[in-house]
Amino acid sequence: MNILNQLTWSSLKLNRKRTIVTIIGILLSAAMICATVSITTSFQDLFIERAKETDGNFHATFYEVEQEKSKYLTANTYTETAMFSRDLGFARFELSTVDHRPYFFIKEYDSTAMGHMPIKLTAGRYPEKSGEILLSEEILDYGGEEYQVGQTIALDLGERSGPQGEPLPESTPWSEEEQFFSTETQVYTITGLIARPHFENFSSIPGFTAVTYLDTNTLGATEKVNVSILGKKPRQIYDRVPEMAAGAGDPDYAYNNELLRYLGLSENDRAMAMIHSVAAIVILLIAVGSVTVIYNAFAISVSERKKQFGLLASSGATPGQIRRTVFFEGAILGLIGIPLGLLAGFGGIGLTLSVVNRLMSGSMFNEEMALRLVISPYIIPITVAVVALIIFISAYIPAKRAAAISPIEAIRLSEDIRIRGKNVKTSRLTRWLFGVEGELAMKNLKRNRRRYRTTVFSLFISIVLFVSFSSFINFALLGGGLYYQEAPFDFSIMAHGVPPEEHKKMYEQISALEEVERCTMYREIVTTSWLEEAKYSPILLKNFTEESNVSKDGAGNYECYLHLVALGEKEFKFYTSENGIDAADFQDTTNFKGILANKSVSPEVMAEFKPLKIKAGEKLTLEGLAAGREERDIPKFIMEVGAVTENLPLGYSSTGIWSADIIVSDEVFETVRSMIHNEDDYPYTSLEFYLITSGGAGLEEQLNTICKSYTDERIYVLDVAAAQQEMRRTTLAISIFLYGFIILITLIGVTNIFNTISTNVALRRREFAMLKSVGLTPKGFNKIINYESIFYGLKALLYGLPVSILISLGMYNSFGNFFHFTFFLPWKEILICVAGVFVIVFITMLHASSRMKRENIIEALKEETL
Amino acid sequence: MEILRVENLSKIYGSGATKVKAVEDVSFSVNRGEFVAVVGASGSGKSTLLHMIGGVDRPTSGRVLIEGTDIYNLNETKLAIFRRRQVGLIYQFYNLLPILNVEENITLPLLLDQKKVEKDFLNELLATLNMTGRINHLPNELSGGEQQRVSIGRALINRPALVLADEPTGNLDSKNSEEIVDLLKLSNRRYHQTLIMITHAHEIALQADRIITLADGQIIKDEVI
Repeated sequence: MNILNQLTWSSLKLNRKRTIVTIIGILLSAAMICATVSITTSFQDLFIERAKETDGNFHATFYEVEQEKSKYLTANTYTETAMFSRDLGFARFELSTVDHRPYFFIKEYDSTAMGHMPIKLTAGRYPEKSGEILLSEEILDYGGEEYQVGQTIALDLGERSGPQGEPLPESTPWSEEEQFFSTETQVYTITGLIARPHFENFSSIPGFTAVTYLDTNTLGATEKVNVSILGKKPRQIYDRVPEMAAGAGDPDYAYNNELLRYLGLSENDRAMAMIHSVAAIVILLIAVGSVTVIYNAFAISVSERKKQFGLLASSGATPGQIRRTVFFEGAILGLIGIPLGLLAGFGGIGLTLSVVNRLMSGSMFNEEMALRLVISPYIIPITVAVVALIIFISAYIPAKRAAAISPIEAIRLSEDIRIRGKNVKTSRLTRWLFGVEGELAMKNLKRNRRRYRTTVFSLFISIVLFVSFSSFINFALLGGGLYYQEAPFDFSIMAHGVPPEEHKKMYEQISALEEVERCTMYREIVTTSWLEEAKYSPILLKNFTEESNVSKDGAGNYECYLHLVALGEKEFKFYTSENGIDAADFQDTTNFKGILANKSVSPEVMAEFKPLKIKAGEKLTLEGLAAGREERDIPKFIMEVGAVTENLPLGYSSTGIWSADIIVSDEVFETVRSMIHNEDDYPYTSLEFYLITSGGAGLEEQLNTICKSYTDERIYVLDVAAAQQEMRRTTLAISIFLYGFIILITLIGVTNIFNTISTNVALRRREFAMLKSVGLTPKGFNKIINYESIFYGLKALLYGLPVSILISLGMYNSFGNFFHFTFFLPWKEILICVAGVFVIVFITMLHASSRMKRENIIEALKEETL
Repeated sequence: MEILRVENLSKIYGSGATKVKAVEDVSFSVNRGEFVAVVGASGSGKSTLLHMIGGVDRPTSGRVLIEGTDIYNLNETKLAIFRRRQVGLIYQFYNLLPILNVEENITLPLLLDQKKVEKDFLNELLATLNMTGRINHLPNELSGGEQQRVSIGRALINRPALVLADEPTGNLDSKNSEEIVDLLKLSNRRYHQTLIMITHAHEIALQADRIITLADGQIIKDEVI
């Protein structure tokens, strides 16, 4: 080591505290960059894994290639892995309980394809030879209960054809007119079950998937198969696949776009580009934060070694040599900080992911879809390069400054020479407000504006990042609907396509379940009524006029949507007695009477209000909306408002937005329905159940079974309690990521503040000693330190808070219509931030000055002036 | 009338083989209004003694009594207030606060005491120091002699009973030195202050009422001129 570097080394050791804090700064910045890159690659990995699961693990497929020509593809130098598959076609599924899906759709995969195609084994094993088959689990749910793994089944394979005898393509939905001709019967042994594959899109394919083994050895030379490949260099896929197709007799080919897009290779999809640009912005933020810290550290170090540099220069060190010593200092700090940062980054992110995965398991992503830590080989070089660049940028200006120091300036040594009277002028008000200690504090801050500014700037950056990020989290969580309202029920069922005459039976069957304590059968008919302006609440009217999303007739009446709602007999009685109303008053099926549930929620002010000004006894003229049948004439009818209440029945957390409900008895409901709906409408009548239950593990299953026996259409049984819990976990997991990021970036700021303030105090050792020698008491000393802290904090907050509020507002506006709530500030976080700023500054000041307080005055005075 | 009494004062640095006795068992007393010069070779313990008298450096043993008060019996806060009101310290290297102007540097002890500045006295002092025209200058805009005069002003502003000067002219040329010593003598007489001054210059020492000579931390001569 040459003499200059030796000097640098010893000065690093001498200022051990600052060296350590700077290394921590570098460490944090390396750790965060490494973590950001890891998170990005981990998410990319998650998306890739998901794409493999939904669309398969291959890059491209050539269709209908003759077996002899397929060798050109499989043996191609570009091909990494090749697999064969074939669609065998339909077979009759006699037992199917689903009218429009009366077939099996049989696919053949060779052994490689079994592992690469998007099928997921849930029981048993993959077929290993001809005559073995996998069935989709759904087959067992819809009629195939008797099938078991190990069982042998005979399938009638054949062709579907249309009414004119034309063959039907496989994707054609089933129709009553089609016919099926069986061509052969094959016997298969069931070796396992698979989950419903993603490609079996919901109702259009009229068959349930079954997968059997494709023995490529038995294929004839001209038999056609599909060949899917994984390419050696995925990046070249778009060039090589057309070439390969040309060589293999021009088959059709297609890319696995879902997978390629997450590999970042898709030609016109920007999904990965977006993820990468978000990562780039985050890294940029980290870089800005880090540069301020590290720059500051070098600036301090250079100004402290100013005399040394001057002496060196006077004894003949060239500016280049001096510049290099500063960079040498950077290199040493980087060599220590970066590896530690990488370790901390990987450790931290691994830990975070494991916590997040535990929270998320069995929720948004299913269990196999966990985010796993992917350490890509690029992470280390990327991190090292970025952090090295950060250090270089930070050291550049201090190095130049060090090299430019003239010997005489350095030896005369005084920054103080630069002080001008007006620079340190303070107003009389300062002395009046804070006393001479406050004035001294203020003058001190003003003396070294550059250093003062760096400290304030680093505080400022931390404040802005913290507050605007908090706003972002709040907006995103609220906007994403992750703040679930507490629903008063724990199960909800939405069933479609249950014929009205069976509603009651279904209701009774559900209510009869042991675990069900209360059960609302919620049915509604949407009606409208033209009401004069005076009947509406001001909030509603304001919305009508501002948003003009309501019809108005010639007489100045607005159209009001009123939902007629039936609850089921038992719940209706419960509801009426709850509200002190006699249920018997509402049974008359000639003179309709209903209860107005007059409560609505405004999405804009997030507050409940009474939408209508209607009293009990008023009569409303209602008219039904034709559900999907526009042409029909719909009779109008009179509904008397028998009672008005603001209580909502079980099954609501709130009513619809901008509308009100009229609760009627089941008898009235049935009468109105038969009056305004005709038979064809019944699939459009909604049927919902809301339950309060005593829980129980098998309940969801039982409910599903009941529902399936009434309809083969979609049914949503939602375990509300579980869903809420899941939402809370997801929110927590997201918050961990985001707040983790904030904390780290704040820590970078803290190291900066720590470095600046403690150096600042240390440099003034002699001054403090002098003040003490003319009689400054320990209390006075504390006062000066406290005032300085307050001034730092105030100044930073003065700039930081308005800027962060502006940024929050900007964020709110840029998301535009996405948010359905009015702008609000994250007050809690702002308070935390204000408190945090002062705590950090005070602790640092206290720490920095604690040694000085006990120090011997004379020792300090003897020290050389800096 | 006795204003200062030093009893068996010692200051020992380090221990064992590296033990250094900077001041060893020194006792003497000074009367109000006396001008005492302390002389001795480098390292004889002059500065240490002076600092201990001024209450800025704690002795290893012994007592310092100023107007009957044992100053090292006071706690930090009381000692600081004592320094502020009773003692004026003048250093060889001025030790002015670079961020304060001449007036503020001079009045600093008063400001710390939240006392009102007596304008008349300040002006008189400034006139004596010959600094009237420079009250708004910062220390770095002043010459060495001027800076030393400011530090004398700061030492005198509280009209302390005891002025301690540690080689106040050590850093100045002969013309400036003469002015400073004249100034100190003037205040010694005009305000009836007690002045203890360390010096290397024989001709300055001869202007004092009494000369104490130190060697190896002990008084070897104490003579009235």
